[in-house]
Amino acid sequence: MKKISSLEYNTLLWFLTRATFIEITAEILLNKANQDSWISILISIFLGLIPFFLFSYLTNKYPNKNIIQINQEKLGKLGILLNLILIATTLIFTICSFWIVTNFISSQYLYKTSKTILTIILILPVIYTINKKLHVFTKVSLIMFYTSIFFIIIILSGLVGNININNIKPILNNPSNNILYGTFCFIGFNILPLFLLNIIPKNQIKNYSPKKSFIFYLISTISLLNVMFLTISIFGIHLSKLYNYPSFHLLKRVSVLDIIDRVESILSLEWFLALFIQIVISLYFIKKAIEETFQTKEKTNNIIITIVCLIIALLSSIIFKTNGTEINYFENKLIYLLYISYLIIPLITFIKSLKNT
Amino acid sequence: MKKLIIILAIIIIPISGCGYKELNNLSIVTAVAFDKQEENYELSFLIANSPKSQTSSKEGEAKTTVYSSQGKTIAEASKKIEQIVPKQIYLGHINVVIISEDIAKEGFLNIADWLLRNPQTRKKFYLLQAKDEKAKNILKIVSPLESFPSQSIATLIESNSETKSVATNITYSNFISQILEKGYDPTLPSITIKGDAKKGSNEKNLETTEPESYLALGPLAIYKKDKLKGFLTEKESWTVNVLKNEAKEINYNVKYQNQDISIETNNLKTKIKIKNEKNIEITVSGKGNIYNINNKINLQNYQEIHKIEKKWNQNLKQDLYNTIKKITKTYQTDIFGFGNLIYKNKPKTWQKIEKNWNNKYLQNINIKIKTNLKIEGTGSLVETIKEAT
Repeated sequence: MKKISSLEYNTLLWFLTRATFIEITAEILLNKANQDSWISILISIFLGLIPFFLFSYLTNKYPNKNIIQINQEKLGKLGILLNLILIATTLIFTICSFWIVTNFISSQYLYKTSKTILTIILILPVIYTINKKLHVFTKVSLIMFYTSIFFIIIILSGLVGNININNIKPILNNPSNNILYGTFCFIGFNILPLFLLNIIPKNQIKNYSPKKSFIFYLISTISLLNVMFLTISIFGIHLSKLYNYPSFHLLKRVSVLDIIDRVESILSLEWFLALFIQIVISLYFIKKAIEETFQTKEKTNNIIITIVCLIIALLSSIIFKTNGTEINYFENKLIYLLYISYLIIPLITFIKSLKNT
Repeated sequence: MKKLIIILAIIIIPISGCGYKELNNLSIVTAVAFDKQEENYELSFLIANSPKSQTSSKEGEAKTTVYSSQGKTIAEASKKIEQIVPKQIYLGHINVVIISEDIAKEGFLNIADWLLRNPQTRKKFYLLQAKDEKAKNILKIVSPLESFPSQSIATLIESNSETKSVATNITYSNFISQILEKGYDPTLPSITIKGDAKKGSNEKNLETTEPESYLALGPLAIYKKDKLKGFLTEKESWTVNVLKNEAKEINYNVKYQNQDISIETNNLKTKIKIKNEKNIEITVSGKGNIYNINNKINLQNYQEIHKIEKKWNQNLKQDLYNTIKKITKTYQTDIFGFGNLIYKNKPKTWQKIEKNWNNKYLQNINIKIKTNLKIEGTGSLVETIKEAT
């Protein structure tokens, strides 16, 4: 199998961290922690190191195996059960992510286009990509990463003049419970999905370096801290809470020297790229998990994953009836599911691996 | 599989129905006016006329058209306009929104939702308060200097906020944000028609060297949360903008030896320091140049300049003080955001005083004003003409 480069691997980390922020985390944080949302993210960056190092440990400890193989080998039948839970959770998470993309496009850009048509158009590149090998979409991720960095530079230079520090005051005026709940959500939606990368064994990555991954972890989480800081300091807390997708509305204010103006549609592409990569990685996780659990051949597996993609497309169009009701589900159900699957299960694997040594 | 995906993509993409329209099939709205007609809301769109198909545009043909309609809600009125406008309405290029006094007195938030919720709008347009006129009539006034009335209003407010500081440019979303802020009451620049509104809407108004009717920016409209409370005078307006740190340039007249000396002030900076809920300290600093002087004064003598400077500092200090006292006592509104500063810097104190802020604390607040204004230039002349004779 063709190996992927360490940089390519880390770009996946970058996108997985950023993917759900604009739709899920930003909205929950602003509603719970208000002006102190950026403090919640700051705490998350430190606390998030625990799952980050846990995932890194498992990658390093078993360089020839992915997490599904590790579970099967170390936990036996329990491992198979846990793998099935992981498949189910990842499937639900992917359905939600796919819903986020279609809903964002249909509510902000193509509000006169049928959601079904949008869903079909969006699922086609996903099916095409997932039927390719890992190195193909990590290459895609690398190209998208450079695009993403270019967009971020434009966004920063176009917004920096609008910052009003007074808007983040009063600092620490919200109950500490709310700030910590924000931290809980940020870790759940933006750091725990990094677990999906454990489907790529270390020996498949050229010159894998935990240090480089750590630097990418820091850069990507700090970039989200920056998004939140810009949103609150430019809009103020009231407008930030009022808008659906406040970080997207922020892009409408980007103006570089009055020359680069009205570019929010292009700049928001960065968020689509992140979600696209996240959906593809989740599907790759499901594909590999099915392959290992049910010992299917590649051709059969490709057919199965195509059917899974179609199921995702179908379910994502019926999962939430009204735009706006999804946050309740994300906040009260999905978050716990993510913690159980992407933190508790790897913890069980970790404890078992410690006992064995 | 690959072939199937490619075929599906080819079939699906052209039928996606993204609502693409050619430019000449769109009615591009460049300004919006909100009025009240008895129980109904009246919504008016200023639409930029696209060239008519198969005809060449004629000289003197109006470049814009105003369409209005009424409804119980703004959305209903909007739908009614769509029924009378032959092309598809496009709201992505709105430049200016004007609200009538009736709407503002009743509460701006009653109509604010529609434009902010609409995904087509960009929320960056200027918001103005119509004064002594229907908001709709203001949209109709044609300007000899700009093609579209909306552009004329936008340019007027941009240039005025930089050179005169009576009006400041405030966007629709910022105004809503200010309404929602704790301890803050917003202000809006006002706009009115000078002359006959009917004549001003006629293209003939452009054919004379002195238009019979034109638009003029008025003083600031002051609000208590989302409700209009009144209008300030021109002097009070720029004073308020100085205090809010929004004045870029002001022209100040100092009475000295029974003559008015004009000082053009720039680089004005205002700092407001909250000592506690009862004491506020304001520091205004800036530099100015003598712009017009008809006295017989030796400008090369620094003592004379210093005396003018001292008088200027004293007078401005008094003006600022009077304006604050008048507004807080008469309107009981906190357009300076003193309460907001307390909330942001001393949130626990704010919790205690929030309920009685406007009617008790604000009116009795002790204000200490310090000014640090310096004359740094006397223009192109080294002495006054009268002194030279």
